[in-house]
Amino acid sequence: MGNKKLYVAGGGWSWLFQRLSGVYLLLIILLHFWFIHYTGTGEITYQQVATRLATPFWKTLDVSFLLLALYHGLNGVWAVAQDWVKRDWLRMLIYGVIVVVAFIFGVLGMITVIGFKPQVL
Amino acid sequence: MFYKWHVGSIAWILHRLSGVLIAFYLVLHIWVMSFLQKGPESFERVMHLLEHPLFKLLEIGLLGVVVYHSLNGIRLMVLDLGYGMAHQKKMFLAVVAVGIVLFVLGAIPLYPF
Repeated sequence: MGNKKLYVAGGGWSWLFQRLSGVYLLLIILLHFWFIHYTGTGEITYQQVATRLATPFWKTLDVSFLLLALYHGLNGVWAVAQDWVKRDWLRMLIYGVIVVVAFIFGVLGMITVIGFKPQVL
Repeated sequence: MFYKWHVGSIAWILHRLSGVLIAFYLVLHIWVMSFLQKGPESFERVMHLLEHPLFKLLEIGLLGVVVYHSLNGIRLMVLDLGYGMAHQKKMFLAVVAVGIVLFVLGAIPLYPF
């Protein structure tokens, strides 16, 4: 346990937010699976996604889904790394990769959902 | 970290493995959906590739992983709240049983053949 700062993410707040985000994601994922994969023809088309993303309700839902899924997923990966990776330098490397991935895919996802302007087919 | 092999630790390891798989899928999913920004042709081209039966089978696998992670997540929350410690083996079996039912029901509409 050389570097105490590396263990902060495994603390009480992290534990609590992991559970709270998990409950929220469970509800959202049910909606997501149902409306996207189990209603309609089963095919996912540009028109379908564009129609959905044109409504503020789905935009808000998708942004919250994106951010909380990234948080829950990457915080989970970090928890696994804390338990299973013993070398401090490797942990720091994993932490760095997690931060970079969170930033890049958070921004990419936000651009996709918020910046999306549908093109007429 | 060392685990003793019992139901609780197997469920926990599977929870973590399924979580890492879902996190990996999540970043791929965000990347695939970013093709929306490139216009209808690009997006439809990527979606057409994903219609391949191999990807459909992977999608069914993903459903199984998500169902397990979700149900076991509920089990872990119940245990975290201090309930059911004496029945965690039964709870795990319930997760598996309910999970199989949900997985089969969810997989049928996704089955490509």
